[in-house]
Amino acid sequence: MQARKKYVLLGLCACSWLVLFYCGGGVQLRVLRLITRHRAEVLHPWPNWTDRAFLPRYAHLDELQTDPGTAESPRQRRQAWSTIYRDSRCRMETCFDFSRCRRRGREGFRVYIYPSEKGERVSESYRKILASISESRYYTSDPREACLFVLGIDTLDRDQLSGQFVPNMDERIRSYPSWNDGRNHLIFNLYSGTWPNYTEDLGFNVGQAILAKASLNTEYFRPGFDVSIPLFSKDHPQKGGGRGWLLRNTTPPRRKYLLMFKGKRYLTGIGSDTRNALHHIHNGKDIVSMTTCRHGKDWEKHKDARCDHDNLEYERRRRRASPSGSPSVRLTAPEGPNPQAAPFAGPSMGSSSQLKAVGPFRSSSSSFPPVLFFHVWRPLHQTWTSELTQRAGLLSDLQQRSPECGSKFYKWRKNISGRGGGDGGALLRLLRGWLQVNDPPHLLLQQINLEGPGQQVIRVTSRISREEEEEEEEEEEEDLFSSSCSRLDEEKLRSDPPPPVSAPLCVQAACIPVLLSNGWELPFSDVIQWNQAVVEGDERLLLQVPSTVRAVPNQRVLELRQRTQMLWDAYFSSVDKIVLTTLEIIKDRIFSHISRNKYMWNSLPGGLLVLPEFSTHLAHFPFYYLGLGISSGHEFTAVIHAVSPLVSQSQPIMKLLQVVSKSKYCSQIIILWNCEKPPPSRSKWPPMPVPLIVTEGRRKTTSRFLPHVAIETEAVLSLDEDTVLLTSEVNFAFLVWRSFPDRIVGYPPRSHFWDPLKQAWGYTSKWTNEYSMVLTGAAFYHRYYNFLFSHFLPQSLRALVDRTANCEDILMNFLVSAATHLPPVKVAQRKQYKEVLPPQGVNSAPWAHPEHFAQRQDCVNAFASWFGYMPLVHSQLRLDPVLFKDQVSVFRKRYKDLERA
Amino acid sequence: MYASGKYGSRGPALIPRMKTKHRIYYIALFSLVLLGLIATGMFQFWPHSIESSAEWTLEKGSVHDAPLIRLPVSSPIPERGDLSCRMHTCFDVYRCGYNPKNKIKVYIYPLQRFVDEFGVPISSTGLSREYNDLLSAISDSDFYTDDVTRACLFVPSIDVLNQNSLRVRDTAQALAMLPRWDKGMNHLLFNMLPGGPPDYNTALDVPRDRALLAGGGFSTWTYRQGYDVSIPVYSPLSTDVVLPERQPGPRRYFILSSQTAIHREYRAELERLKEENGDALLLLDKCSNLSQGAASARKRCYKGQVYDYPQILQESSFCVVLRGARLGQAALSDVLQAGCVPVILADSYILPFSEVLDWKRASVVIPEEKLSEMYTILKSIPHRQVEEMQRQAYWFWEAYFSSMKAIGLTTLQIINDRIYPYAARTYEQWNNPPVVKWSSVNSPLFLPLIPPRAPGFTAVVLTYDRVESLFRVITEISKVPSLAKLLVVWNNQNKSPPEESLWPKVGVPLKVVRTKENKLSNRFFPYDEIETEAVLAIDDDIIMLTSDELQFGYEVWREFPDRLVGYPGRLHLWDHEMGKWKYESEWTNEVSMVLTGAAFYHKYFNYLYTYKMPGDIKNWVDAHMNCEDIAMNFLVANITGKAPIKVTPRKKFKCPECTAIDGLSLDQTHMVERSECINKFASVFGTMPLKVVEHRADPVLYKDDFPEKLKSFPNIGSL
Repeated sequence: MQARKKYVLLGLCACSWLVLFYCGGGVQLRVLRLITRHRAEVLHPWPNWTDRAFLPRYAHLDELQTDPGTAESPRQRRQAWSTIYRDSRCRMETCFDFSRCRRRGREGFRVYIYPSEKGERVSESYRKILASISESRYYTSDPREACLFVLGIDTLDRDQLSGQFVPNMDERIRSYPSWNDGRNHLIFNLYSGTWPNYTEDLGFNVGQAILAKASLNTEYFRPGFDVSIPLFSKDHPQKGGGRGWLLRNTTPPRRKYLLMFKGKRYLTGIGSDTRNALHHIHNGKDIVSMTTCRHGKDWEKHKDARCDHDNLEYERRRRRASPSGSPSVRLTAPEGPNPQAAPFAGPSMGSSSQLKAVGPFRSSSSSFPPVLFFHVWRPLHQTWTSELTQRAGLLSDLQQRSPECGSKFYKWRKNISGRGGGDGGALLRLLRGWLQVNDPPHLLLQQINLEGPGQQVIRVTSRISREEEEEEEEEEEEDLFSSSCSRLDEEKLRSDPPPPVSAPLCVQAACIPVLLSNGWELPFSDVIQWNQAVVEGDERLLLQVPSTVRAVPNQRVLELRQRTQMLWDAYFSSVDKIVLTTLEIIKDRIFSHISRNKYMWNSLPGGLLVLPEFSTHLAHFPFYYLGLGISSGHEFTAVIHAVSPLVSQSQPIMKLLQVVSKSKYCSQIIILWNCEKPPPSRSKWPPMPVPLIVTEGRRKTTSRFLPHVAIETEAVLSLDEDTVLLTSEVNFAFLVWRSFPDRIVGYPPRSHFWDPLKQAWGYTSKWTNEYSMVLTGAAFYHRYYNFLFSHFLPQSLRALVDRTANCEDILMNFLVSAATHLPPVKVAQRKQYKEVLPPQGVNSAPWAHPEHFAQRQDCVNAFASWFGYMPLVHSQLRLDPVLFKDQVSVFRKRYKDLERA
Repeated sequence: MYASGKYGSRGPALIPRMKTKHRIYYIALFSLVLLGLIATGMFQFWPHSIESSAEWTLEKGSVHDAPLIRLPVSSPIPERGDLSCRMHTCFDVYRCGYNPKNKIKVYIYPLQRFVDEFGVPISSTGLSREYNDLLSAISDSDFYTDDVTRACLFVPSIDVLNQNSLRVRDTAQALAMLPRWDKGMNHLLFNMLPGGPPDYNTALDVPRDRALLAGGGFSTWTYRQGYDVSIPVYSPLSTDVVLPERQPGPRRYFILSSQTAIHREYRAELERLKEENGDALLLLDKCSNLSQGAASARKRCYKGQVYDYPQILQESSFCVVLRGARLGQAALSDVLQAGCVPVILADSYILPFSEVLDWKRASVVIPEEKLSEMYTILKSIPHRQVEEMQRQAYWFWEAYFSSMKAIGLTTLQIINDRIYPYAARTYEQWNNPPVVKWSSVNSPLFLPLIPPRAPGFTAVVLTYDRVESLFRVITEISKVPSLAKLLVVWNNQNKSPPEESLWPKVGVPLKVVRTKENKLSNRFFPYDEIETEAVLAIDDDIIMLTSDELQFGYEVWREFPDRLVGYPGRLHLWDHEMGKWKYESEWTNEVSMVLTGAAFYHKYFNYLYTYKMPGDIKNWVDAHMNCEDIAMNFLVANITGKAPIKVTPRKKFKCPECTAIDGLSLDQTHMVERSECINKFASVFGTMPLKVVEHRADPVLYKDDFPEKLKSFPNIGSL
């Protein structure tokens, strides 16, 4: 009986399976049909014509190769252009006088600032801009050699209601001797127009001047001519600036909110459309929109039903965020000591002070997160606006209803023939698309035509049980990441600030900006690849933003966050950088064949530290090896800095020459003869397996870092004449350098620290557990840093070095750390380095002077103030050979010499 | 189908034990099912094949069979293109909607032949071969849809590639007659030769409302940035002539000018340059003794000497591309194909696909005014860069210029990138030639950050059942100041972890995770419990590491957060005799791996290991119960291009109690297996990503003659 039961069961199973199979077959059939139809689509959508081979060419070869030609001479044409394409159609070719920039070849890019008149009021921001230019390496005080002119009159705020508005601009400008209808002039502007429309009008005739303007609209932007700059407040630091707030790459990034907007809601006028619609994506959980209606004097006139509630909520959040009452967004890193340098005070203090510096913003979950999503408003196309509002209303209604209702009808009548064609499906399609993404299985959308084609009913059916919904939510939770911020300019005290576009602070806060800014020409859009750093949305698709943002995978979030930080650090963190970037962009246009490519602008360390005059080839820089998939060079050039005359064959330099030339990686040795006496004849130098070049230094300390043409290898080994080294030490250090080609790799370490008593930086040569510099008396570095040293740093710093005949190594360390944000690398070395006193009779070494040390202390402070922050970074490790001092046979060790103490 | 597999496999095993009656019953049932299956199959596939073949025959046909449309004189003419059009004003993005694949849908209008009321066609060529190629390419691509209501972009089948063959007014009328024209909204026109005599406009003269224009030869005044797409002028020569691929390198001529009909002012300038610089320059012109036609297009002459075009382009490093009446020149395509670096002298010209391509890496753009300085400018470019540019130029041609298909799909991709900017292709994807793509690395943690010390690290201890040893490890690790949390991965399903009261008391949270399967991969799972960036992976038998050593390891990791920072180092070697990789654990001078028995790394690599490990490496590791550390080393080295960091001196990590003989033979098989792993992984990765270095990290004052108590990490290096 057991068996029979089994068979009955089996039979039943088989039957039910058959039934299932046929039902399933039906499904399959449908699926199959879909697939075959789909395949049919792919196979022959555009017919494969039988006479395809006989079709004519679109043009004859002759027509393509032989240009029809015009009688007009190219020269005449170019002249004619400059009269046709002016003002709003200006381009570099027609509105810029290149011949002014020719004067001294590559040095031709000089910027002149008109002196400002007495009693002229210049705003804080403009003062900073002017200071940046006059301190830059392009500044000239002679208008005759200038290539670019900058006005002395403050043009930043062109809002007539503003207190900083300067009237009579037209007359004043025309009085400038070299105005020449604005040719070769650069005008900075942050705000233009006035309430309520904020047009692009500056209130005076700009003529052919280049406009560097914040919140530029693509419509008025003259491509390749104007420069879009970020909006910055008057508190934006002149130099240095805080580093980004991204301190760690946590994955998944833990933040409370996914998407957030905080700021004013402009009830009417420009920018109000999207902002008023923002609450539709607010869900109170991970997507938060906090707006206030308080704006201007008469906001209550336009106030709507949501205003009171919104204002209350906004204030509540704000108070919680900053007990002091000041908008905490404004917080930037304190001036003076960078919190990052603080670890010297003790291991635990470093991090805690960092937390304090940024206040409640750093801790993610408990309080207000960094502001998120920023938005710039431009007039929307009228139809979009109305449609957006309508759709938004409809959808929010759907959102509210659908979860509870099992099946609900939503009636919506609209004459659709106006837009989107006769089928009226455009809107429905969008709606469907939106629902598919937002609640894929929850809602089923059906279209039922009623009473003719114009009117329809959209039926929304909820067809999923509650439990399933909850499951879904959990999945979404995993995708959560902190995202972007917006920062609204709260400190503008005027009644009606123009729409602020504040990329900078948002980018600093390490959340990813979600841009909803149709028609905004993004800052430095010429060179920055914004789509690699932000999530760009379309204002018209506001309702899709949440799903777009949720769909960003973890990996990309990680990347976007780092990119925003990189951009912040390279181009936005200080007024200096903003101004310099503007100048460099213009310079790149003028000398287009010696300019940076996009890769240089968009990868570390950023365009400002990559000088195209050195090379336009990526492989010539120390920063791009990994990105290009190449490795650094296999040889080095030793540069020995000789200051004392050659008297005997037993001088340390002779020994050093022997040691270095024995290295198998050495390609040549250059002796930089910086001594009062003329260099000895060739025969005085010992014979060597590598070429030896003796060049005359300029009797200057900085000349040791001159970019000599003779240096052909990427690696430079910089040596003092009295350095004591072993060949194996050199070899080992070189191999380490090849792993870190962008850093200084050297032997003797030094350190800096913050002295809280003196409120200044200190310098120490004591043996400590950490270091932040290695002396260039014996160090490997990339030859590009020689070029940066001579061309990037200002004359004033190099003069300081020459005057004191000191600190050149400190400056080099500052420079490299500023470029890499990383500490140098110290390698193992025998102890007796420089411990032996120089032989009697020779001038005692400069480092033996008592004032030597105090000087270096001053240098550190002078350099830090020029950089605007302390670029040096501490390291706690030293790189030794793998078997260094291990208890194994010496014969196994490749660098056994290093252990001979 | 799923069901049949299940039952089918069970059936035969049951049959021998059945009685005959039941067997028959069963067989009958089975055959019934089989029959049903066959019938359904027939039913499903048979009619479809007939249907589709019918469609096939329908689609075959001649271009001349396309329906004829007569344009009424009074039919409306679209407005001239609006210069202020941008994506957000003139493009209906709602049509594209949201698309999970982030691909726009493109619809192509069926072919129609338009004639005016006298029956004269609006175009002298009708559908050209190139435009036909373009349309077939689009229709074969993922972008295509035949559902007009779902389309986001419409491509008319009216060929406007060459304005010379068009009747401008009638073409415009024809465009306006398209059923979905709607003021040209979301329509895309392809044009390569715009303008006509005498002034040669730089954009198509056909009025086109808001239609997007993919045009060759835009100038900065006609190009609507972010709306139009600048495309190359296709050169049909590229299909006729096969140029052998040439490696970048020095070539016979330095500068070559091969264009014909250059304006005499330019020619005079070029002649002067030639006089100054001699044979480095080659100036070619049309051969006077050849008649017009295809033959003359393939020859160039200099003083009676005949050269083959475009072959001669391969003999030169730089090739001049001068503007003519039109800005866009087909010569640019020939020059790129030859791997010659184009020197472009065409003021205000918008280079093809300049929205995404970085032309500075493949060409030299010189203002027309500076033609006389061309030689000096080009001479100043370093050799290595010239080679790079040659490679880049050829790559641009190959990927974006070589066929109408390439041009068409690139255009669509650019528009696609604008509509779905968050899914746009990156600069590297657009610009890096395959060689670079293959060898370059983009580290996921590229920002130079030294993370703060404060959050500390999470120690993940993988254990099976060595409880005693585990407790010792836990006690040791808990002394490390920066330890934030302890996570014990309990990999033994048969045994429960000890009771809570038995665990050693530690000052940090301790969490035990029980796994479902005894897999080595469990150690690299990105547990939610890991809240810190830094993870310390540690075996349950590593009891010899001191607290100083671990703390120092963490400090080193902070300086190298994108690397593996570990204690025991290992090396891979190339075995010349065997011709394969070998694993080495001896005391060598080099390191290419660190064992994850004790190593710090970034939590992100857990994600990569668990979800992004290439090939079947993960399964291999779980199956062999070995090599998870080698796999991790491969993964990290491959994605960052960097070597791991070995910290502190060598230690004895092996248990001292193990007997020598046993250990040796065990060692032998172990080594063989691990060598096998390296070879296996190298073949999966397609390369050997591991990097060999000769350095390790020690504290700054390690073994220096300095009071121990002043050192931060005194207790380092004891065996």
